[in-house]
Amino acid sequence: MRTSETINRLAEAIVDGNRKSSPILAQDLLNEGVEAYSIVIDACSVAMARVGELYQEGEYFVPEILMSAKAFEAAMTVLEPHLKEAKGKASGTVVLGVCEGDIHTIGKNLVATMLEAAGFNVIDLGSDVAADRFADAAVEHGADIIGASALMTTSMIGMKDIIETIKARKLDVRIMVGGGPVTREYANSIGADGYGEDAKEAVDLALRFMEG
Amino acid sequence: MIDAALTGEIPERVPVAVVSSAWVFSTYDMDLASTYENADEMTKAWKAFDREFGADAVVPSLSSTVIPSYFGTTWKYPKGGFPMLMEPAVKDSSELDSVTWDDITEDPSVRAATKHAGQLVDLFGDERCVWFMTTGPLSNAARIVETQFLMESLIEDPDFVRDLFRLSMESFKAVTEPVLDLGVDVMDFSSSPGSPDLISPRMYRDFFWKFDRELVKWIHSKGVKAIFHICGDTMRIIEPMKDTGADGLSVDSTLDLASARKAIDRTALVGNLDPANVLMNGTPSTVREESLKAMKTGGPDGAFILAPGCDVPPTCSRDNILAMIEAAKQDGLYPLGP
Repeated sequence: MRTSETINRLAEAIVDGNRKSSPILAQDLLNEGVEAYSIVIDACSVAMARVGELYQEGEYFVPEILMSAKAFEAAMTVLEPHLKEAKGKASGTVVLGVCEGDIHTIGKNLVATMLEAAGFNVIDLGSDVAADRFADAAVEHGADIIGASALMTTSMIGMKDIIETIKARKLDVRIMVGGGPVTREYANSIGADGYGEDAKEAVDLALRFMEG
Repeated sequence: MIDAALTGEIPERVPVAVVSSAWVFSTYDMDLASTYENADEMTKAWKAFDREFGADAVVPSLSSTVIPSYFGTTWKYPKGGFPMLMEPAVKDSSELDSVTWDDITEDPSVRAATKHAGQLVDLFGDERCVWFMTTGPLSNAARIVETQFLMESLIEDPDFVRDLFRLSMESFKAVTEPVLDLGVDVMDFSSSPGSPDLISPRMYRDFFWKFDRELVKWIHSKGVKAIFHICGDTMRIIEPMKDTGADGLSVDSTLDLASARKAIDRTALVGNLDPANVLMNGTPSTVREESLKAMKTGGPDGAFILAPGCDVPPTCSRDNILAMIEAAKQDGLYPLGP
């Protein structure tokens, strides 16, 4: 009973963006003997999914999501050392980055956080990433998915380069794209495997990719 | 014509403006990293643009990098792209107290922008609208710190954000006052962190709006018309934007022009061709088609200026820009056809 209450309180702390209490509650759950992986699935993932819903419902905007992401990350710093002991938790590996010529990372960071919350192993290449670096990282980490983000019309052109590079190197990896100026039509026109309008849609898409 | 549109009247035809010095400088092979320090080069580019394209405005500008650079922000300039912020001037709230700006008007880029605006007033003041364009104080604030830090601080440290906005506002006024005194017709400022794509409409109304209103009032006190731009779909804040008293609202391509037109009465709309999917990736024929659509929905009874919805990518073709201008000149005569 107490454990279930603490799980709910941790989820609430993340939804509320309370980064002071989220690591304390995560530690309490570990002390109660709950497995780290269960805490991620039952509290952190549930909370970040709720944050995604609140964004789609027009209740949450970027500042609120960022604070929830901070609270999630604060809980994860406590949980991560214990997760390494768990087996088979990751749904897949995603190489993520912002296209070359662009340093707008907010959207990409949110996608990274929510993919991690959904159990993915995320390789975050940061911003201003050239097509070859996406491809090299996909090979190095055995990635299932590449996610490319852009906020600028001048940098979203880089998505086409990424897709062409992946095809030229015959890599078995799905490519999803998103970001401010990117549309579903643009994603289709350059041959992307999928488009996420926001972070939640990106995670749903990645989960569908992993289902086959 | 632009003056008539901004006073809510019906001009002879829909006026048209290319509000993008980055595109103009790139089109005339100028390096964005250094051009902004050279008034004569900037003026040369706009003279060439006016000869080649004949839009209704010439647009001297103060680059988005100038004020944040003065405070210490650093940039990278990708070829064919916009400047990328590398290191913000202020990394945490404690650093704000030590920031000073006593000699900001002596900054070489500030001086160049002022001289350039004066040159365009002298050259074109009688025949074109001289439309001074710059990133506004709230946009500059998101470049003095980093946007993500600003977004987080809005929740965790609103007092810091207010202090930052105040610093940004006062330094902005110091820099732009000499330009307004030169006799420019319009001052156009962006206020992009207020976009509903980033923050809630409530946060815009409670936190950002009073700064935008203050700036519009100040511009009017100088005898200059005020236009301001917020990126993204601004429908949810279009009424408070109008209530700032701005003469024109520059709107992005994601905004439904017909709904905006109904919501803001006779305040002018400026926009809203899609810079990426229409101007950069479209053809002259699709640009013309979209221009017609924008004129008919945004300005069936005047109070409208045809323009790109946001900054134009430097790789956009000359033919597409020309197609937008010709659409206004040839198909924008009032009364507009069916």
